[in-house]
Amino acid sequence: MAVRIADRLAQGLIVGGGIGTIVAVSMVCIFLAWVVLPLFWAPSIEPAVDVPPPWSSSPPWHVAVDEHQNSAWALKRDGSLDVVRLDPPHAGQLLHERKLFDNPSLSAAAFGLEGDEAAFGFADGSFLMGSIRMRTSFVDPKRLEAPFRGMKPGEVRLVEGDLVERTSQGQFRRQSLQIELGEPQPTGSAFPVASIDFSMRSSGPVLATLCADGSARLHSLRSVRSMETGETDYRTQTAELAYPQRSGRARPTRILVSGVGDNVLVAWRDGRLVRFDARNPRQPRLAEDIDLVSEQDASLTALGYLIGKATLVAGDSTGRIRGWFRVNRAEAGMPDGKTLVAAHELPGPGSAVRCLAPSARSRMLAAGYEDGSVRLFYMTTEELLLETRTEGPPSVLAVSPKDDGLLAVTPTRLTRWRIDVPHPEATLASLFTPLWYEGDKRPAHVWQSTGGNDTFEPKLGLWPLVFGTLKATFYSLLLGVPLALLAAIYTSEFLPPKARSRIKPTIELMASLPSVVLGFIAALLLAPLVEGLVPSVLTSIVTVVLALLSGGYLWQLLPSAGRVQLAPWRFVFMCLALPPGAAAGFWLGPLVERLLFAGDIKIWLNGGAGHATGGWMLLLLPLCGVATAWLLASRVNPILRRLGADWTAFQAAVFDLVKFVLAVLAALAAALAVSMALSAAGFDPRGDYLGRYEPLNALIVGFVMGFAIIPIIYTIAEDALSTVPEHLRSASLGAGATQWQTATRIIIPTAMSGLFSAVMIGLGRAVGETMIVVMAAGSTPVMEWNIFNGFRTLSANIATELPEAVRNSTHYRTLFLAALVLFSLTFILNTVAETVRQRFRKRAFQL
Amino acid sequence: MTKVKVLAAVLAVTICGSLVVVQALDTQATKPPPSKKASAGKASVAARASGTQRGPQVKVDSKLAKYVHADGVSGAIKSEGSDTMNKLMQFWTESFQRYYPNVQVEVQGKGSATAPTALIAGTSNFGPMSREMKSKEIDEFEARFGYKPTGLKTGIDMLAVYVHKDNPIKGLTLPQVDAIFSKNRKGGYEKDIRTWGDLGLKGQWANKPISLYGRNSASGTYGYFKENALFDGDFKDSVQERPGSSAVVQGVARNKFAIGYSGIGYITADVRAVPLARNEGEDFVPAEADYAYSGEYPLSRFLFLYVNHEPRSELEPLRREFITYIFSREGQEDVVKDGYLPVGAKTAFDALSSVGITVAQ
Repeated sequence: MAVRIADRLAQGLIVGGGIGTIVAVSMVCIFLAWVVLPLFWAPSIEPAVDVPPPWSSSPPWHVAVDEHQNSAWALKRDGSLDVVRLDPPHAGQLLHERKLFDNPSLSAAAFGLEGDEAAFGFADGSFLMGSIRMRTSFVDPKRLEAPFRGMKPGEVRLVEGDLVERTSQGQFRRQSLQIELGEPQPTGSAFPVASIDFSMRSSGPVLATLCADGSARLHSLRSVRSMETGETDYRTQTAELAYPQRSGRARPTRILVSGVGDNVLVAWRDGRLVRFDARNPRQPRLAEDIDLVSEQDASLTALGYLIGKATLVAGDSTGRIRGWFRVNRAEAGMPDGKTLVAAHELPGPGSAVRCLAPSARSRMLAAGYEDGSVRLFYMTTEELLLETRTEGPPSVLAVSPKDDGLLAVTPTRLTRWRIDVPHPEATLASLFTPLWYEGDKRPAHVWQSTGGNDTFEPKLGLWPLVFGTLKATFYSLLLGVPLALLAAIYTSEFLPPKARSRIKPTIELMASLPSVVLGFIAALLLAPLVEGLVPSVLTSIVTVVLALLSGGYLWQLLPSAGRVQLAPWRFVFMCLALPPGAAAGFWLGPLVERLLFAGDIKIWLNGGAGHATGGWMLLLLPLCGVATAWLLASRVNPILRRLGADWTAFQAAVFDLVKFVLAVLAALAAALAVSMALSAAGFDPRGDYLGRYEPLNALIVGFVMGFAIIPIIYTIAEDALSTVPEHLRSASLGAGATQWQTATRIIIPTAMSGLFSAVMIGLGRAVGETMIVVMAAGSTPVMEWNIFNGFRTLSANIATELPEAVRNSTHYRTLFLAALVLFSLTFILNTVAETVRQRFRKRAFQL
Repeated sequence: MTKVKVLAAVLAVTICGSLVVVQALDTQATKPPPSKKASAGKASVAARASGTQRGPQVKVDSKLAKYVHADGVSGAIKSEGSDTMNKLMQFWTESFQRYYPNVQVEVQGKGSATAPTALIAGTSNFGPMSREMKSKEIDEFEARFGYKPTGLKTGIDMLAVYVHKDNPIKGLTLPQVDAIFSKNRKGGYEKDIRTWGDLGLKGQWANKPISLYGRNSASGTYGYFKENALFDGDFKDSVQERPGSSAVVQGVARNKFAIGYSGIGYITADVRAVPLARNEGEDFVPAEADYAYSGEYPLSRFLFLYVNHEPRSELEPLRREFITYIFSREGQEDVVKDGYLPVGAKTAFDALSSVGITVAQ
């Protein structure tokens, strides 16, 4: 009875534990998915305000919304500035109207994308710089009159001409317009300024003006700022921008200055664009003369920059918007080695683009079309985020400073929408397919998640991280698995049980080293050591193996009586071969470096000198070695066995040694021949599998992570081999098979499922390993198989970037997605491993 | 049982052995053998001289007030943020504790990006940042508190481009620095710079590839360098990101052919700060105090201390006194002690009044 109860109890516990584990794992999965899913939720838009505009005659030139979307200011063509309320019950109410410029009359204006600066051009050919901004301040509640103190959170009231909002935390937030205008300066032309633009350089603003006579000029206002006093001093220099005239064409209509003021663009209505290289603002040079609109009958209808002023957006009369940016392309033959390329294309509804409005903090772009539709795009992914309509064609659009609102002005309506686009930069395509990032020559997989400011284009390609994970796993398995499996076979099949019982716990002890210690050793001890001895390390990998093998062949030369006596100490004798092997490696290293790698392997790897033969040797020698060994075993050995049936043991041993030396030479010769052939054919391994040497690289990680996974693979493999029934072993040995034949033909096939799961568990460990790669992998998210450079794994990336990510930002959620990817990677690997193992196991049972 | 003991002993010996070796290697790396020292000659002497001279050269603005002890200060200073300012925060808190021994201090410096999160969560009361807060971070803060966080300019940092002390390079222009570190070359340099030979160095340097060291992306240093030296371009993927400023300097000290960037406060005798010029044809400006004040040195920035100050409210005594201390003569002397430049009396006054502290100017 008691036994039955205990039985039931145990069963219940086990079942409960199992279900609990499954539940726990699924909970982790659900939690990850919970954080990740909002990345892919569709953006939303809802109308907030739709009223007739307060201005009747002069339409606005430019509108801007304050960050709380309570008001907007509009600069009108007559030079006056209106402030309009946008909070729903009072929307459309005019707060102020201020005449900024009366005489001379305003003819052009430009506004900074990120800052508050603005530039104005006038009909008399002068310009000035200024700033317009909504300043936020907090009102002392004691100074407010009684009725205002009773305002509810979220309520907006007019106090002394400014809007005051009660925040959700109870403060009174006041928004007031601040306008500062500088002194007018002459452009150098008496004609009205037709277009103006500016950029802030670290040395001061750079302005470009285009006058009605078609003359374009660049003005650099050099400011000398004192960090001690904070005062600024301006000096102006003007340079003419001379462009070649095309016969019978109209005057240019727009002028633009790029972000750091190093480029000036002059555009015509037909789509012609002339680019000036203005890195030296005193002497701008003509750099490029291209057509933004290739179709004959189409014309350029809207032109502007995205945030950062590096991507030019051009909308045309067919409704297409294209994003252009400069890329380094010396072969195009432009004087500054760069050329504009149309990297992105945003689809339109089929009618002409009327106006464009970039976001002030992301790569979003709002576009208004002739047919009254308004679209919101994300440039990097070319995705259409939102679409809506207005009554009549919108003449001006504005995206609110926090990217949470959109304002459109049409001749008859003033419309504001509340938008919610939390993660425009993340789509499945942007995470897993190559994207064309600003300034790159071609689309690529890039992981570069953080920048210093908002103009930064987040690059959230996960492939480099997945690749890094696979690379780390591959190289550590390459070094760890053969060692661990062979060691397991050796200890279980060839060592006396007494030695085995000592060696096994010793190797298991290796597992007790924390991975952070291993990473530390790798980064601080191994990396500098290997860096100084690259060629020697490479040659000793070969020489140590050869020395051990020759040790084995030399052992056979011992007289058989002595050999049997010494057999228990065979392992110690084998170890004697190690020092000569290592010594040979170190001695050969510099020689090989001189012969094959032009005297300095690091320069050779960098592609600086020498020819490709050495690299191919490096790659092909192990392959040729394995191929020769296979040929010997399968083709040559059976013949020799027949021939040498009546030789003495010593004769056979000598013959074996000769065969080994010949085989080594043959492998070397084969590798050399193939390498030279490949090299002569023009193939160079540098760039793909070999390349630039970095001190922290995959080789180092391979060594150390290989070391870390050896104990776990070894233990499981050894257990699997030892549990092969003793009767199989005895039967095989009894039938006259050697120990080696027994091991390779009986024991290993029987234990295959165990060996396989050992490797798979090692693989799982390597995929998820974090500390070693954080410390020793160099943290460079590159996608190259090159064993001599670094990489960044999913796990290391999560460990280093999660503490810095802004909570619930796209970056934060993407890191959780990386965790989910890592989880599914291990999950898939383990599932595959388990099914394969089951299959092997079934076969083993049939034995 | 005995087996376990033996194994434990073996483990202990292995760990001790490896630690000793690491230690030995470490000292070897920081102390070059005497023969090398002689050959290094002028370069190392110059580096050391400029490292030590900067201290006495920089004078704290005499218009800054001396710190006076106040009553009622208690509680804990919890700071989370910039790694660049970590040492500085420690200097400040140590000196502050001399006035108020019962004040507890917790300073963590994992990177500027950790500061806003901690301030918003309320787990810290000071957020040192070596860059200004980004708009997303300000939004989060504003969504939680209704007002924006207050950033105080507590000091000036010069970002230096470091090379090994034996490196003969005279100076670099910003477009060259850009071409070394960035893959887009927005600075406009004609070609990619991969080897020291590309910068005109001869002899053994000519075909040696340049190893790149940089800070991890959490740091304000990373962002500032990206914005100002790379012209908002992207770092090459081959830049090795190090978790701390001193790790970058150490990396450069160990690798003769390396280049890295970090705050001037971390300079050691084994590295040299390269003089910089904004553009080709301009004079190279060394990373020295006078040039940072005059605005000629192209990579200087403010070091910020962010606090959660509700507008029109008074700070409690602990934060009020700590901020007053920072902007006192003593506090700014700590800035100098850490290798950064102190702010002037006007900046200090502006900072104090932005959090509602009034002091006699």
